[in-house]
Amino acid sequence: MTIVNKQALVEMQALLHERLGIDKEIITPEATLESLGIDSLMQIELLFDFEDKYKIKIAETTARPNTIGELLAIIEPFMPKE
Amino acid sequence: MKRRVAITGVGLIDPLGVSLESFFARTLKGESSVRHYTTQDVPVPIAIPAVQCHNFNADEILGKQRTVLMDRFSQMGVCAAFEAWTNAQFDINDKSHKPDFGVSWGTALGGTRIYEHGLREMWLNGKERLPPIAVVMGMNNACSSHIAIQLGLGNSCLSYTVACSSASSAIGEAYRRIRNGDAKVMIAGGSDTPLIYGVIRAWEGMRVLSPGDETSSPSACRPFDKTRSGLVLGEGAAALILEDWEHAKSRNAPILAELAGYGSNCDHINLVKPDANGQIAAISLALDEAGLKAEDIDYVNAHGTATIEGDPIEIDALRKTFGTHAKNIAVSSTKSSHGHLMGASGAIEAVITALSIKRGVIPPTANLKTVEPECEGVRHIQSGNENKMRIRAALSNSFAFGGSNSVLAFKSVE
Repeated sequence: MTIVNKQALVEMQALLHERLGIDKEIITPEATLESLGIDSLMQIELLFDFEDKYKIKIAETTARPNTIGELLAIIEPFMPKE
Repeated sequence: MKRRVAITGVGLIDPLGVSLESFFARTLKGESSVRHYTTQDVPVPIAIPAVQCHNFNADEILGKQRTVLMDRFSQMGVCAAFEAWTNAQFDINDKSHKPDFGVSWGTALGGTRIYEHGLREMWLNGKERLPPIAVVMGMNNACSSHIAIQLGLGNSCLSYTVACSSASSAIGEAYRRIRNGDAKVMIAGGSDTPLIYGVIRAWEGMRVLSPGDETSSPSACRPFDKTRSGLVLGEGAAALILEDWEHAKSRNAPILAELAGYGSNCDHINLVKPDANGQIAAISLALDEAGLKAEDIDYVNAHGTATIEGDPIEIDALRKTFGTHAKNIAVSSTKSSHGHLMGASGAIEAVITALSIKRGVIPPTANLKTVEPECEGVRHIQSGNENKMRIRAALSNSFAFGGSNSVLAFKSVE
């Protein structure tokens, strides 16, 4: 089980449901981006959405996430602390 | 050897959101889809006659995961292409690589909508930037690319931006590609969504939009009429499947008509003032390529935007091209029914022309009551006229700002 920030996961579920119509239940940390139909272009858009929402700047990275958990791992360090 | 080109399927976005058949039936009756279009935009709300496809819901047809990356002009274009594809008896679920199949698409405005939205968010709402997908949503070849990706089309995938001749040019260039043996099947058409704040304001500034209110908007566009007062903007998309004749025959595809000629040229005189000589030359090029004589033409689907200046020039070009036969030629402009779809107008009019030939019926110029004296000399088809007749051959005219003329010649296969 990938350990992720719960708030970030909930935000990601809401965002993917709203923008792509994906059922929240299947948006788990282990779910592959490919299985959810999220390509590299949409990953960039999602990072942009998170930046906009939290007024943060996610650093450039060469990491290529394969799962929701890996994508959240890129975002989490830049999210505001509760 | 030059190949023959069959039209084996057509599709479009019906402004009233019903169907291709419903749209064509209304067009034959001379009914208008123009309504009073209003918004609460800032700084000044919009209130103009226009054709808006308000029932169009791309998410329902394509699914959110596809539409999220598409501007509205792409969404409409893909849906029209899918309908044409299905009507040509191809399978929209077949994504196998098809190296002999391609796309040729016309759009005047492309993804202007996404850029305007992004710019307004920046300047009105304090956003610092546009979303990254604006790059691929806004590019003019977005629609053609989406069609190719969705259907596995590996031949050329090109987009044409030629103002109001965009789709006609796209159809004509696709026709050439098949005729020269460079492709077997091409999806050709166009899409545009001009109901955008900045675009509407600019057209208003040109002083060529016809006025109208809640009551008068359906009759705001009156091509060739003595009382005409300008064009009406419309959004939409239409697509045709152009196919190598032998390829179509080998799979027993339905053939609506033959696309037999294409005339393309430029007036090279003025950005906005049309020129009869350029139009005559374009019509003649299309006739020559199709091997048609003036007397062979039974119907012309005119460009006919209902502007004061443009309509008489087009009729003058027809009179001069067809001589004594001009008075026999049935002429109508269907823009008063579906609006001026900008870069997509040539596509929706090509679809109407192909269906008219197939069914032996001619759509009227809706709202044409009293023919402008300068527009006389051809057989105008008005609502209520007898309009059933065999069409041996027909033309569809598109004449663009910039002076680019594009004329398509069709033949009956009956």
